[in-house]
Amino acid sequence: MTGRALAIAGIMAASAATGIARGDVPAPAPDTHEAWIQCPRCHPSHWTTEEARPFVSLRIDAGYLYFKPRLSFGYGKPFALWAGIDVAPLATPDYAGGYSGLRLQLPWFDIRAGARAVHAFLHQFLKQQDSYTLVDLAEITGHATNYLDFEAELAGAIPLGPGSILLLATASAIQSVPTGYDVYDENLRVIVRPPPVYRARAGYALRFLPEKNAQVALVGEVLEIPDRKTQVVRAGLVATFDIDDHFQAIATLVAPIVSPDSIGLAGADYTELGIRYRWATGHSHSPQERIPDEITAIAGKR
Amino acid sequence: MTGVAASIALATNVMHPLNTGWKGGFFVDDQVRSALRLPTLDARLEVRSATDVGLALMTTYPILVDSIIVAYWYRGSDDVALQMALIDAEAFAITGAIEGTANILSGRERPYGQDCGKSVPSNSTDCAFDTRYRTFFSGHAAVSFTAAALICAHHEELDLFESSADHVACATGFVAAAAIGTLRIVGDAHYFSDVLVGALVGTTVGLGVPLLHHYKRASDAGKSAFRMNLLPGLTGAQVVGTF
Repeated sequence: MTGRALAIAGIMAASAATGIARGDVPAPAPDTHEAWIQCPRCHPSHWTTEEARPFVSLRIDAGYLYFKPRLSFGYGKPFALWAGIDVAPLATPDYAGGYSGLRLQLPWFDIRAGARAVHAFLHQFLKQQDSYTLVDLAEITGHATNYLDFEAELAGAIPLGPGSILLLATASAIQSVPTGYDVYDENLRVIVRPPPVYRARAGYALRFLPEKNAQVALVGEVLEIPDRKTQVVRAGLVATFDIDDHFQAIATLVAPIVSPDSIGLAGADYTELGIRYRWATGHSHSPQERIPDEITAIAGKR
Repeated sequence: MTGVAASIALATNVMHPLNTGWKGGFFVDDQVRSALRLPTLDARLEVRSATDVGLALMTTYPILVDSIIVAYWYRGSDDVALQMALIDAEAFAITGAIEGTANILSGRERPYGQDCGKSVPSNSTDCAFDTRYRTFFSGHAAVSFTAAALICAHHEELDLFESSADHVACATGFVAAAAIGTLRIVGDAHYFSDVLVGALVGTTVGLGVPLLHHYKRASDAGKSAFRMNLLPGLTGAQVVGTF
């Protein structure tokens, strides 16, 4: 138990040092029958082996302190291979808003495009300057931050070698910002001179534990802010821990390395540290995935 | 109980603090502030951001790691995991309710308040928003110590790791909570007395809710309080959690 405890603690510690976990990619099959017995809950493919169908699905990301439910209406295998519409209200102590858009999820790729409305509680539009500090970010300029963001994103997880290559490309066009002001984008956590901002992230993910249900990825990313004629470079860790087909633990920290701004962790992507819950209409465990009582009992001896 | 406490916590976070005129330090507050406070506002704000991350980690750990990963995933005990998470939620809600109520009733000005309009811009959110009058007592300290105490209570009662790692988890939690509390003073967000009271309240709730309200009640009922046992069953061995 000590070894396992240390492994869990290590993963969580790595997670702690860590933004976007693309956790919908299911864990691969355990390497051995023993590993399967060790973790019957981790049997993969709960979502990938389902029948394609029209469905409504719910994904809730919750942690301290945010609540991001995502309601999806689509056709296909939810969380695995499907196309449809996302509706996602969100609330954190820093801002509230909502996102809606189209999504296409394929085995290796997840593509979405939509619009996000944001009302920030703490940050206001910023009078344009070359660089910003935390003091600037806390300034009340008299222009409350309400903006609209049109965005498109491609996320990929491509198996290669012992792990997977993670890719993420985001293009955003931020609207409704007064002339002469910049905006702290609560989603990308970077100061943008609107409208355009682009992000390219790449990384490599390895899975751990016999059940291969713990994943830690080292990622690096560049954010291009063309109208500020500057880039922000960030690097960090993204970690996921598949608990079962419904629950997944998520942690991210991607911290700035090169930036024209000195806004500390406000410029880091650490927006996720918590639990993800997935549910969909018509979800069931196929007969071969049902776990015999004997196996459950053996697993209980761990 | 949890719902009522959470509602109070939420309501008191929206309400404006009372105008009590309480400002400045007492006892050793000013000496500790002078000794620990970082010299620049940017550095202090950065430290405060770090304490936000620390707080997120502290509050997440008992539920995410101890309850969901260790009890639910590793031990396979749905019931124990659920009970642990509910106890944690209750303790956090009670702490939040007490802290929120103290905040609005005391209306104490944060230490940086005396520098508003001087070294701290008066048009900053820190000075212009009513968070300026929510220093007593420290929510970061209270919640962190609640989390540390919950970690201790669960590990010591349930032997979650079945090794000395349980004691290490317990001690580490309190060290982390103490660090967060100290950094709130370093970041000039609180006085020493705010942090001290927060730590005391957090520890009391974090230990009291599980140990006195739940584990003891289960023990008094003549059960092996909240234990996971390996028992023979009709189809083989079974893991049974009792609470």
